[in-house]
Amino acid sequence: MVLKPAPAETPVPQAATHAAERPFRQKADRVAVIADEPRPFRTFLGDQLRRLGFEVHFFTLGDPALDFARRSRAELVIVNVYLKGKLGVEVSEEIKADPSLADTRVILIGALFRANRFRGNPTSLYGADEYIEEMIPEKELRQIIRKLFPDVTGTAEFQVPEPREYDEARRLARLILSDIVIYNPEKVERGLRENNFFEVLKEEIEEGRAYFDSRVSFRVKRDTEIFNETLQQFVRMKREEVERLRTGTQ
Amino acid sequence: MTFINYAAREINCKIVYYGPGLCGKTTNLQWIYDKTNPQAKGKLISLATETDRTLFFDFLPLDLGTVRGFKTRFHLYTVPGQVFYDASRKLILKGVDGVIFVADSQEPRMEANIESLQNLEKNLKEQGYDLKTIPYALQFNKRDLPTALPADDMYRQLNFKGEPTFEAVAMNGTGVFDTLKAVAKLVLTELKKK
Repeated sequence: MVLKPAPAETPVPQAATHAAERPFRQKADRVAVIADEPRPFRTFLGDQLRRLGFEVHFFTLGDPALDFARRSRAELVIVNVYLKGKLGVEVSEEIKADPSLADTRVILIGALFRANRFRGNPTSLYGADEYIEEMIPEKELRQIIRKLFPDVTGTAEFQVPEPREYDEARRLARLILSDIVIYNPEKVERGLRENNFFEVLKEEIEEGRAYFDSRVSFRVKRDTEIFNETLQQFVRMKREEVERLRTGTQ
Repeated sequence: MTFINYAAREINCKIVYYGPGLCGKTTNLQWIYDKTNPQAKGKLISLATETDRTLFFDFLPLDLGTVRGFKTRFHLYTVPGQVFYDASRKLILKGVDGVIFVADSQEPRMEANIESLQNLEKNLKEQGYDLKTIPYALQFNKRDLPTALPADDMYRQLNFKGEPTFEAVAMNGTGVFDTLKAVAKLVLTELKKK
């Protein structure tokens, strides 16, 4: 599932009256901080980490991310190399220089990903423990997390069940799409044929999206791209069907 | 909620055609309208807003008998089926006496059928009705399409309480009057109990 960026940042909690009190922290979860611009990749990471038992907090700026990591004693910080304000590499250096965060693991996210270009591994990780790029396969990401947190191994295959509301949201998205398709067969056909499905059906999609947003929970809106994903999946499936028909393959 | 017109000695009943978008509710209504004696029916009215459309008309079937000397006039309504228009559906269900659920037999619309049925149950409940007790009939429409699911499969998934169920091709009228008569009889049976 592709997830979408959180519009709201995790608020940095005020200093607790007692150092031991961290009401925002659930004991059962490891805390992970993801500092990256709002984009599907960020929420993809969040989703993967949640499935591995992490409590995930998103930030777009380095300073609040660092502040939160310190206060929550985050076990993992995943940070984009080129953050606005404080760079990700600076965040990494500060974490590694802070004795109170000695147990915090840092993963840098490369700023660019071009699968079809020559690339080399970075020469410096600025103290970070690992380096990833966008489009990293789920399996590879899990391997990296397991490497950093060996005790996750036992639970790595344990899938935190998705909230039921996600299933319901998917169902709603499918229903809306199904209505769009059945009421606009010519536009759908044209959009698929001319490869501009989202432009041709812009009005219907926006109407559908507005309805979807009005029916799903804040969490679904904040954390997922279920509506977009459903549309994209449909277009992909239809294109594959056309391709199969064209080439005569099954 | 039945309305009694003492002057005309008529009992007015409201039947609502419910179901997902483009399942054939309007086609059912249109067929009934076209085949009904002009003297026995009112105008076919389309309540069209910018985004959705509701059809209704009333008619006085002559072959359904009377209830304590009162003739029965049926008002037939369709609801907008698209998932968006829930508010209109709720409004149209107000004062309903009987419901016909029109299911689309095409496999890709099965999920929409189920959603619409659940939506019907929920909206009835909000109006103080219960799908378990309200006069209700089920119709599997578009049986002529090659993509139609087996009726048994549909029955298993959609039949709610053993209600009368009909296969139909509303485009050519197959099953249309059978479904209406079944629910009309149930409505009259309820009336006679009162």
